[in-house]
Amino acid sequence: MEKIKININGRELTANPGQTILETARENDIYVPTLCYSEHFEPYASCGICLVEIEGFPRPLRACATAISNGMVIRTESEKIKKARKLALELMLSDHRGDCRGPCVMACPANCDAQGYVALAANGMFREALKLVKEFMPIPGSIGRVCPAPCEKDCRRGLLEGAVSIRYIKRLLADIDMEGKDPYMPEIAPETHKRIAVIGSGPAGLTAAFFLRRLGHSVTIFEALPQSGGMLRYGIPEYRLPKRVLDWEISLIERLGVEIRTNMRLGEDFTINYLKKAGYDAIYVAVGAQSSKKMGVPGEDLPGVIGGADFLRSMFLNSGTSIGKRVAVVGGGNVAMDAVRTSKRLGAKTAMIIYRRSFEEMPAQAIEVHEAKEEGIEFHLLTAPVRIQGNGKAEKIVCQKMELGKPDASGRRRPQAIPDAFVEFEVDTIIAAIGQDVEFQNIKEEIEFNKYNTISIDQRTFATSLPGVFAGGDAVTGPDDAIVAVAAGRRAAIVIDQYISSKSLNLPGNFNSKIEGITASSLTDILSHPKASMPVLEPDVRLQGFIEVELGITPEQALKDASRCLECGCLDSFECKLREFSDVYSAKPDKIKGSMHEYKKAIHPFIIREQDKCILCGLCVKVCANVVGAEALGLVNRGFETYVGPSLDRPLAETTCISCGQCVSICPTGALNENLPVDKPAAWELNKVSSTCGFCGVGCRIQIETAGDKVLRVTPESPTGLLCHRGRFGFSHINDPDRISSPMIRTDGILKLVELKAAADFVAAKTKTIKALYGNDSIAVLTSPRYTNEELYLIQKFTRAVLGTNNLASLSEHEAPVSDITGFDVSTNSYDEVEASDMILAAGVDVKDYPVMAMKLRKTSSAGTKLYLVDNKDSILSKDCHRFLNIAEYSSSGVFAAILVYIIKNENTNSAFINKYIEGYNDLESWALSQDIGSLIENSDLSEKDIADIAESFIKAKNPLIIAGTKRLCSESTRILATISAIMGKIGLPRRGIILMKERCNSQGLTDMGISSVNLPGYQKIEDTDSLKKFEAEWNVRLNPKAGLSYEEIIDGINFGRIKAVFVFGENPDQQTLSTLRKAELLVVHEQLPTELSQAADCVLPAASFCESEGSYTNSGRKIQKLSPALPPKSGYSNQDVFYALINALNFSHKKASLAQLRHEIARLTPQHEHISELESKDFIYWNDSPYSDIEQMVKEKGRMKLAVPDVTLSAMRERTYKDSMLKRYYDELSEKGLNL
Amino acid sequence: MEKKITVRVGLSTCGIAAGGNKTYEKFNEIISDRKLNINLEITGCIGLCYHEPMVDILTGDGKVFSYGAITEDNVAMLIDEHLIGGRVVSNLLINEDKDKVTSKQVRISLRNCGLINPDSIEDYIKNGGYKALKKVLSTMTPDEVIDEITASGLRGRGGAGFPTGFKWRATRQSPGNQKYVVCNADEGDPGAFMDRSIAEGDPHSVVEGMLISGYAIGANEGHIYIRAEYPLAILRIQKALEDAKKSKYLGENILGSDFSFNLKIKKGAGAFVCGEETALIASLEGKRGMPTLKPPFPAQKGLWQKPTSINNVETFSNVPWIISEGAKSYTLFGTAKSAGTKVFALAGKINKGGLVEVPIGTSLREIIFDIGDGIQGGKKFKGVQLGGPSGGCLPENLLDTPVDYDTLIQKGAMMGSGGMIVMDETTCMVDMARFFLNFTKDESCGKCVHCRLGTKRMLEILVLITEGKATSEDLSLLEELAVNVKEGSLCGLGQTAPNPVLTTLRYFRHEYEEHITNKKCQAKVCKALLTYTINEKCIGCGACVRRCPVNAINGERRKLHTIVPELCVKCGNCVDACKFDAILVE
Repeated sequence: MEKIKININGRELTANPGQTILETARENDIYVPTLCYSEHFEPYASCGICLVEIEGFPRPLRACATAISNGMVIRTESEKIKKARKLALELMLSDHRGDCRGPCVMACPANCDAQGYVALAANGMFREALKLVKEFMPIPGSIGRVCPAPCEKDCRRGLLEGAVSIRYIKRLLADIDMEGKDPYMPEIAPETHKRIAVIGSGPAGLTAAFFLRRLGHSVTIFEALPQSGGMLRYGIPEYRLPKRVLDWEISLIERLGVEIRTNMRLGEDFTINYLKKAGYDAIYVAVGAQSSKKMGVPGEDLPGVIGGADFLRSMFLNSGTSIGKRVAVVGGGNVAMDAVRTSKRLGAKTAMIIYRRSFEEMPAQAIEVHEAKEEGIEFHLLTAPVRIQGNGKAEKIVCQKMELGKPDASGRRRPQAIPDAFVEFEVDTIIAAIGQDVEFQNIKEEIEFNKYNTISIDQRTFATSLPGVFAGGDAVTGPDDAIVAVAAGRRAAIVIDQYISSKSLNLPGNFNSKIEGITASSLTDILSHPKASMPVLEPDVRLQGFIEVELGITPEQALKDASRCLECGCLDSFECKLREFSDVYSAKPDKIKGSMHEYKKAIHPFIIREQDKCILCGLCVKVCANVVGAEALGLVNRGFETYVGPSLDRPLAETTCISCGQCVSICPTGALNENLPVDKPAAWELNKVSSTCGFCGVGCRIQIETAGDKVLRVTPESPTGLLCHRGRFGFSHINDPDRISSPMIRTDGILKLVELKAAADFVAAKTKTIKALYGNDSIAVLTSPRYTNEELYLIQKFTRAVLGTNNLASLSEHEAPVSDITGFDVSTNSYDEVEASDMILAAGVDVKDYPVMAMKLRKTSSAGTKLYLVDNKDSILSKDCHRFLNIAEYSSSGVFAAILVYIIKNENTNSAFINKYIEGYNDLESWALSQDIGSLIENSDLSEKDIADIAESFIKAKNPLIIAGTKRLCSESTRILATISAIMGKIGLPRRGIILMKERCNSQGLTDMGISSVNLPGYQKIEDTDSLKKFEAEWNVRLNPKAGLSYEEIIDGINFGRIKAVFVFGENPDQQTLSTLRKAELLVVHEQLPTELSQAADCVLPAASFCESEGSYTNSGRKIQKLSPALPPKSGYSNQDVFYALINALNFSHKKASLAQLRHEIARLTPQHEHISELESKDFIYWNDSPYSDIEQMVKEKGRMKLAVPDVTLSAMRERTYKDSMLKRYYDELSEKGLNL
Repeated sequence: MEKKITVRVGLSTCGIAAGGNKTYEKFNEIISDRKLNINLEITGCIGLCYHEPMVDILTGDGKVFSYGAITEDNVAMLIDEHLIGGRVVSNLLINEDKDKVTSKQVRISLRNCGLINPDSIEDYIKNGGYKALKKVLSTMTPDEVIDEITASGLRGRGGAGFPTGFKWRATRQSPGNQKYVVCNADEGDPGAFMDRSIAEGDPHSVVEGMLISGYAIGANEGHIYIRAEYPLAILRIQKALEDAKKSKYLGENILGSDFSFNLKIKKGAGAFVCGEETALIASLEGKRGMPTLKPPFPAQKGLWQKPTSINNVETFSNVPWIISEGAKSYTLFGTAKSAGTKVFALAGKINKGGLVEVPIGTSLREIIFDIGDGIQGGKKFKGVQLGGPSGGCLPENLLDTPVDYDTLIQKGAMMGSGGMIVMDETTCMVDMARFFLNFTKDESCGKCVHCRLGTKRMLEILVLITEGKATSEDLSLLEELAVNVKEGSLCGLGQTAPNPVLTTLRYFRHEYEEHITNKKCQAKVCKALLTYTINEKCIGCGACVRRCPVNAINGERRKLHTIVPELCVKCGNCVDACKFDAILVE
């Protein structure tokens, strides 16, 4: 097809005709936003966000649904388009009800993620909570003590029995960190070799320094006073903020590499200009506001009159401040409270507050006022000083009585003097705590100040009049809360980093939608729990000195209090596209007002639906119907009243929903979210690791998302990827508190916790005795397909090289039904070829077992491939295939044999292929010619016409593919299906052959890695001397040349006492097998979760889960895929650690190999895994390095294909069901939750 | 033998609504009781709905006497006087008016309506029916049919005015063996009933049109998507299909040719948006009736993803005439760009409401004043809403606008399916826009953001304006929304929904401003803005007091009464009750 030329945003592009504008733009990395488009479907075109301008068209068009045409000139970001997108977003927001972030986060000047860390605390994840706090501030211990906590003022729980105790919790988190052995140190980015000077070590300076250092810059703080900390040290008394806390927090900042130079006063000891000359790339001025404001009354210059901040500072600088017996503090702010309470502690008999307004207007924190009252402070309100009198020093303060007038512009009632009403107080010291100014005398030469005498800056960039010089904190705002300075410091760090990296200024977005008008009565169904109360020192004890008044809450209190959080902020805050776009296009959430819907949150065990946040993009409905095939969700009602609901408005769990979570993945907003497996969910930026799912043989690629030591979410690796309910939600076993976390050995009949070495030595001693007494073959090893290839290889090596036996088997080991034909017990083709085939016969592929395979098949079928689905029951796929053949399991071999017979009888075989590659065809042919199709299918409901239809479809298809579920289908049926492919020559080529759907994540690897009594890794026979020699040479050990016992023989062996010791790796057998295994003299069990077997073991070794393991799994589609650990193993020991402990304890002189070394070893020994080392740099390789089995290669290695006459009498399904402990745990959880999946 | 007299009772929905069924029953009763030698038949609507129930008396000599307002009560009288006595009842005779109204019309689409018995295929054939089909099947190739339709300049009568020949050709040329013809009979505009009238009065013309279309595009299956609210039309079409099938006009090898064609009726559930062709297809397929973006057009991928040609009832009814009379005859009517005639449903404050068919390009003034006989009660014309709820409203100074597709679009209105709602000075244009927007908002399918939320928010602002609670910022937001909804909506419903707002803002902006700034509604429609007071003309009769439902009027007998504004609910009862013009509404 001829390419066509279009122009997007001035770029000339060539593209294929028929493409949409959106597709073309994406191909060329031009971003066009959209909320309702997905590559899965035809464009739905509902959101109106992807509008673009096309020259010659009067109105904007939707890029998602407009096909390109030659010569089109398109603009994707014109002003008109931006406005149109903005309005579309505002329309959506006009009926979108939700808080992007919790009110607590919004109220915090630093936007500290209070909801996030409170929720982590509620989940008992204190360290994670602290880490999160430290993303916003380096000094939580100090802030947790002094902050007025605006977060708590806006906390919705405050509408009920009281706000969540956010500040107490923050303080506790910091205290735990401080008292622990291993304080949290954030990671530092690689050194940038950029130098930054921070002037002032108060909260703003410390915070800026901390975040700049984390970004890899080298930071020096210049501090005027002898010690760092600014107002936190010199302005806040010890009883409120013990200086050991501040010292500790500053020391951590220093440990990160921040240098603090004290006694360096700007303007005296150095200048900004000097710093610039010294080569600092940027300078941050955070000098604070320390100079106390004057009262402006006569007599205030008398000795005995001192400024509030000066007074507090003097406490630290010169110890012997004499204040006398009567102290009056003028002012009603925190500094006034600090000063008056300090005075009392310094011995003042009378300490009083003189304030010209009433309690109501007092800016000090209520708790401070309360504690001051408790401590006996006198309050003289509506009293304003007019003069100070005294003889050479202040002795008396004369005040005017005031009354409150009408509220002024700020809403505060202005005090007015009551004429002729005066009051006098005899005093020794007067402390004027009415505010502070910036000391600018020294620096005003260099830097511009504004009319309020604070440093003037650009409000957005914090840039001062000097290039490269930024400013923040009280020096800019005037005296304010420490958290405001912290906020300034953090934002400045972002801007400064962007400035010195010459990046364009790109401050993080600030779009937030907010639910308005919530009152106590809208918060129903909430059980009342009292707010945590902070234990405090008794007032009389307090006044003894400067011991900290607040004692701190306990972790138990914190856990309880944090659990009271109402979870206001949206779970999707960091991923929501509506929020992202609203930010980009500056949409105003309240521009268009009107009636809004209010729906109830709907909670499914795995999925939370919040219809209030839905924008009706329809993606969930479509993915459920078209990709999953469940049709559990639909659009209900019309027009403005439309909503998305489960069928018949039932709870989702009662519909056809298969809990696959595809709807959650595709939802662009917070309307659909995972029901996170924690007590208190919140939006967190989780650690993400790509890996491979550990459930079935489909082997989906996943992203494991963790916080702390917990897996919180599993999502598909790619945004359009698919997962089933197990892969997405079946990970709770990993977080299970019951996990086996330590080795155990049985002593005196009881399992006791021991170190790994002790356990291994215990096992080694017993094993050696048994070996000596009964010989190597008295030992057997059973293992499961849950292990990685590398682990299985090691188990196998341990068995053969260390234990010296070939008694190696798996409960889930399946015989190889097609290896006579295909050479190996492996799929001949990859999943990638499924979509390219023109005819698929899928037999025994249970949709419930392999939901993702079912989704792939649905897609293929709807794209036109003829899909014949053979199953014994209806499923969500049976309505979407070309033909559904309902065949009872017992009749399947007869039916498949009938197809075979039809093909032979009608001479549709490929004789050239047969002659060249096949043995045993003649016998098959003569058998077939003697058969009657009618009698072969008499046990089924099919007619001869049906058989002809399927057979003809096979014959006509160029690329027929068979997909056989090895769990459900009997091996004879599978073999007949492979025979059909073979006699038509439709095997051994791309897109032609048979895919064997294996049950477990590494069922394929299990046989590949030689978990077998007869095969070494790579299907090399033990009894083949050459093969054995190869392994002996590699391992440097003599191997047992005799084939071992099969699974059944091992079980018999134990029953008859021939097998004395059994090692069971990850298997969880049924009751009967269990009772047999108990008979062994030595039973060693490697497990993740306690099972009946582990309880019966003599030694229990802790196993790591697939989320904690590194290695590879081989899926049913020939892909050997990488596993990466998302968490450290629960016990601290990887599976390889455990295996090596056993190996070494038994004296096998084998050093622990790295994973890379192990892979090299596997590559040397197993031909099909020759390239496994490439997994160091790739996510997957193909089995035998090829996506399909090539016929020439096959016959070269294994000789000609061997056909056999079908045995149609043998058709019962083999049942050897067992539940891996992990699966069992998951299915128990499902039934607890009432889900039948 | 003297030719038999035939009595035809107009039994379209309009006739039935006026009591036509009872009239018919009465005739039947008397004719059979008295064993009169009179043919009693039914017919469709001739368009003079204000005369219903209408009865035509066809005497043997070819004369037709049309009577209006023949209810069951005067049937006996009419029989006695005219049928037996031979005396024309001149006070009920409407021949003169009928001539007056119809003489200014050109009836092509409505050629048989009100004249033939819709239930009689013979009647249809007698009037030239199925002649076109025969001609097509015996003498024309499909391409020649399309050429003829193209040459006639026929454009879709459903509203968008897409050239029919072009659509047919596109469908014919789309690859594939299976194609469909769909008749859109989902007429949803309030006040529009052209399609219903045709389906009720001349169903075979639609069937024949579809057959010709099927032959032309290469389809042998057709669907008539008709709203379930048209039960009579459905019955008549069903009967027509049965009769056509019996007469071999429908089914396999029609009239002995190779052409086979079958028709099915699908009843729609009354969603306005299903008149949009892609939504109609979705509904036909059993899905939720939501539009999809075009392209692909139905001509490429329509019903079941197969090429599909969709036309509405009126379009199809024109087709047999064009084939019979030739494209050239059709182009004698109308304008250069819009040939032929168009049926309009005249409604609102007009003297003679009903259906009229005129050559395209006839001016609004001619239609409203010459044919429709002007405004009721001698009031002043204010505006006319064209094209249904999503059309636009044109003011008096545009009365000479020729009614054709392109001129109307240019003026901000549209032809639509032919609804014409006439408004006089008692109509508040803001309230009118609110009314229509309320309709489109309710009928939005809810798929696209602009339509689902935009129409709702616009309506909310309009309500604020009518309640006197809006600010000038609200007005600019309303305008911004209107423009964006028009540009951003997915289908015709949303794209045209703001039209009433946009045109009233264009032509009657002062009314909006008056509501917002002066809090006044000059047409005295917006209740919230009205105050009721009693002036000195009051003689204290107490009539108003008795009628007031909320006891808001006080006053002693024979003394000036007063209205308590806090209690008054502005129902207007007092105005009606007062014989002295003493209630002042401002």
